[in-house]
Amino acid sequence: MTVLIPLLPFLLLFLFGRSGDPAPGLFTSKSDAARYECVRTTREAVSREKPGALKERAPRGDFLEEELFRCDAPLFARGDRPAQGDALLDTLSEQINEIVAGAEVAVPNAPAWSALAHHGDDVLARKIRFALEVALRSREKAVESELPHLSAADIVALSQKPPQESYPLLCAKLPSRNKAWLAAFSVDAKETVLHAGVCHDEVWTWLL
Amino acid sequence: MYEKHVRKKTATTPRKVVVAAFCACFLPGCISVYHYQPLQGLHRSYALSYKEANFAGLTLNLSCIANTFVSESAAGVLCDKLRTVFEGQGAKVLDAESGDAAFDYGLEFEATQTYHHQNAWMWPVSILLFTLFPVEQEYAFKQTVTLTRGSDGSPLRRESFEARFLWFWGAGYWGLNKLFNVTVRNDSEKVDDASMRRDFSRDFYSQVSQLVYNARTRDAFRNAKVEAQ
Repeated sequence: MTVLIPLLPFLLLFLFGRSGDPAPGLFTSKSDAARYECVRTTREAVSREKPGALKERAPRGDFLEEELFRCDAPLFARGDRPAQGDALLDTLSEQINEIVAGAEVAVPNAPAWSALAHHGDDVLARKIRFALEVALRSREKAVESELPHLSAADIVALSQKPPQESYPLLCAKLPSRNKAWLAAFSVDAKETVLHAGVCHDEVWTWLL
Repeated sequence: MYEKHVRKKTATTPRKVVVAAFCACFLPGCISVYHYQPLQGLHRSYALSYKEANFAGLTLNLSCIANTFVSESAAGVLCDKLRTVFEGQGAKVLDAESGDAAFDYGLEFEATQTYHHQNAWMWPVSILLFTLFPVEQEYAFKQTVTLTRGSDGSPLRRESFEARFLWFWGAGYWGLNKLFNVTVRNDSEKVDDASMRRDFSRDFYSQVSQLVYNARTRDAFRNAKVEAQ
């Protein structure tokens, strides 16, 4: 045993060398590691994206080998929010861009746009609607943050029908002569993709 | 005479045990630790459990491609495991005997190694230092999954999932990890071979199941829209 004690610094040296690794390990728990979304990167890419973030390499090279990761820490780690909402938000930008691109093709000349969203979670529905509005504005569309004015009887009648029937009926009630209404919604608690359609000139067109 | 015999036994038995244990520990796997890190796609959240009946009435056709990274037998093992996962969720999975039977979705899996690193010098150094200094290997691979519609073979979705694995071998690292497992970490944080396999399986099977589930709900919704019209 006494023979082994002088060798311990070698193990400590190794562990010190690994201390910055984002993978779960001796000193990084799985839950801490899960907070980071990492991709492998190169010194050139880091220099481009964040100049000065890395120390210059020694002229004759470094003794230790270098492995670089770019890790982003999302505001909410996996498990902090309900799983379906979390999964939906993970890919929300891509989905919204796909929906808006489809809407542009379906209704190329709408003078104004409004966004609608439906989800079991109201907070998430507002986020989806906001994301739709941002995506429309980024494409230089005139966006009005208007919500449809429906009577209580209409709301009850529409809510009792499945979405594939209720949205075309809703379209008939919307003032869509000079405006396109873009709607995105979720129909199943286990799916992590959105469905979408657009209403213009009282015609409902399914996008996804 | 008796005393001499006893003294001899006590002197040699511990040494034999130490030598035997030392030799045994040179067998890879005895004192190794795996770490798994989800990279691209695998850390995403999912809304379903692959242990529930999500795919009742669905027929799938799985295809696992062998290449320079994945041998024929490994590809077969992957497809067998995926078959178990999907059948466990209520789907029917076609096999070689199914012939040209119709299916709802086709899933093709192709893995490529994206990174591999090992320092050969670590082995002699580790052995000279009684394995207190560990040997380290690292590799990462990307599993590309292509989902196609069974009726016409049209591609619906293509997703890539990348995982990174670190392997450490040596009594020092293994002992420290064991100590942490016993003293500090709770069950979900424990690091060993079983938990590495469990964590990777959970992430990979959940993502693949979610991919199929999303395609299925989109198609079901599309069919319902057609009927409504």
